[in-house]
Amino acid sequence: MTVCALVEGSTVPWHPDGERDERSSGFDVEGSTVPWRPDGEPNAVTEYPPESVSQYNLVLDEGTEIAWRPTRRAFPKYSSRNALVQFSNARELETLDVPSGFISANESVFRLTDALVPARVEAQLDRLCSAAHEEQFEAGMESRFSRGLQQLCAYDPNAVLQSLRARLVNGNSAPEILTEMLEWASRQEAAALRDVIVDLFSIGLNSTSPLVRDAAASGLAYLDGDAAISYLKQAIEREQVPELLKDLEDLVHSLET
Amino acid sequence: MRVILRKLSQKRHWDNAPWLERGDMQADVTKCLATGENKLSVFVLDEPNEQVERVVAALAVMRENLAQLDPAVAPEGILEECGIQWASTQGKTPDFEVNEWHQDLIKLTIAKITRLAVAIKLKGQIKRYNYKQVAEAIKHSLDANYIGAERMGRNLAHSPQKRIII
Repeated sequence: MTVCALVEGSTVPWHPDGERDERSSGFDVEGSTVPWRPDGEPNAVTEYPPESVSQYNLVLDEGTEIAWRPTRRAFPKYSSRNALVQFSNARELETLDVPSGFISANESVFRLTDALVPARVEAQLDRLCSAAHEEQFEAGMESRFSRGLQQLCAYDPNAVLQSLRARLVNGNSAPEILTEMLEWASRQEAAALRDVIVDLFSIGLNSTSPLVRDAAASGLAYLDGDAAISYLKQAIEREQVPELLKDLEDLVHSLET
Repeated sequence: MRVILRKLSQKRHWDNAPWLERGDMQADVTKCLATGENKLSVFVLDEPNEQVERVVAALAVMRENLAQLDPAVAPEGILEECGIQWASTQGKTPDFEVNEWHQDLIKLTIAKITRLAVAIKLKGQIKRYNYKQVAEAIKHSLDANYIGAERMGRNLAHSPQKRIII
């Protein structure tokens, strides 16, 4: 009996015609959408010989997490765009050759990576930013936008932060959206991300927008406490807006006492 | 002197931006004075030296995360100067006494909002409580039992940020 499992949230734009093969060992987990049998052919047999499976390619969205891994040996016709369904005994996860675009490991969960995930993150971030124009943000409160950023981070936090960095450098996003990004970033506590996030704030401190400079200063102070003081003092040297200058000075004073 | 207090959504809108003509203000200040049914929520304080921080704490503790809070404080007399009416309505913060200080400015118009913005700018103060000062304010109110710990905003109460406060 071969099994195939899709983890929660998998999106399957391809699936066979509508009738489920009741005897199939394929199963739906919550969120997946697979009425499970081959195109056009009612198949009472749940085992699919490797040479025939290639015609049943599942095209998974980039970034879909899968609980099984494909193998080049059995499915030579796969491409890096498609994730082939691999029918293997779930209790015997063997080490297999890993096709490009997949993480190699004995782990049971894989993600489409490298060129695929960052592109997906970028597209999702574009959509979030576009929708964010309609939102009213409030300091200290989560927003649809910040919650969306948090969900994106589950795919690849580094890809998200690099994309935010690019937006800060380009200055193409609205200042209110950039400030919301920075406030969200200040709450990311993973030590592994700290250097990347501090870099974000140091870029924000040099923004042409006083809103962004303010948010960067506040976020940096919150995230990094005493270590932020040197960055803030440099920002004070540059600041031209009197009111923001005073706020920066007060912030440094607050951190030093 | 009695004062009114209004929490601002973005302090930077009140800055004297370099591109502004003398005596003018950024149009975005009106975002901080956004009305609902032509009403605007403010607090009226008899003892601002003691009460401003308490209002800050009461507002901040309802949030999901610790962040700066920027109150605008101005003499209560500007309301009459601007022709603005008000009505006492209960606030909805976890500090019951702060709620007594709440007022709604009512029957507001474009002209009145504009006059109010100018009056706040000319006669008031735009303050900044950074996250540390907000945390201290909340702690004072918790220690003084102005706010019961059980009434903290749920997310703030269960977030890692609570360690900064307590």
